[in-house]
Amino acid sequence: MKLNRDIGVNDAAIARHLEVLGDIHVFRGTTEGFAGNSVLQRIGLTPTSVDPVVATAFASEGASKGVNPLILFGPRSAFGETLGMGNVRSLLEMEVSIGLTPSQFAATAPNSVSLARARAILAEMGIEVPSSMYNADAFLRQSPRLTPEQIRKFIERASQ
Amino acid sequence: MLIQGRVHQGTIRRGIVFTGVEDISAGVPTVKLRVDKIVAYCHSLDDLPEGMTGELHLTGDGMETLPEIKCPFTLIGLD
Repeated sequence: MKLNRDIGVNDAAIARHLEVLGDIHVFRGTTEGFAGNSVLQRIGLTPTSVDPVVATAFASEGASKGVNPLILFGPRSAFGETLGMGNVRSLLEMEVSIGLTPSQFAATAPNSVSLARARAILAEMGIEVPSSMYNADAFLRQSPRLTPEQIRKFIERASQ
Repeated sequence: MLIQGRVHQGTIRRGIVFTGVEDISAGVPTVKLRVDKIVAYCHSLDDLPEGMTGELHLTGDGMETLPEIKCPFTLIGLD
């Protein structure tokens, strides 16, 4: 497995994720059937986060556009061997990229959970994500990020 | 000058010119900043769609205004 050193989590965090979760798990907040924007389709890349809070926030943005918001997720090993660099806000978004188009990513993702269910799981952890946001930036700047242990709990609950 | 951020509305295309900077505390300074280059995920792009993050390489007048404005700010007035 290759891990780029410039992704949104540092080496120590990656080691903790591997220790606790057995792999790096990636999460994408989107809406059902959304093929991604034209650029992502062209360059064959899907932005994801290693943190479900971030993905849930982006699904909440999708809810503001009104079509079946959800979070797609799975272990890195389900999507190929390499995690790519995040983009310019990789630290804020705990972002890593996957070398698949968003449609390919959606077709490959082994798990999905509705925005409503994800919000309920996070609320049980004390993190309230709005049901709909036009712009997730302010939320992302003030919201906490999950520990690997909390991510494991989220995965267990969301996979039921 | 290089700025980084996320597109909140519309699509930014290479060659467009921003004519203002919107910021609650600083008012609306007048600028004329042309987008010479767009970069995202190590790709040089012709456009940056709504919702996507990236870097804008800008040239023109008013660049000195930008560092004085608290982030986040919004470039407005596409030609």
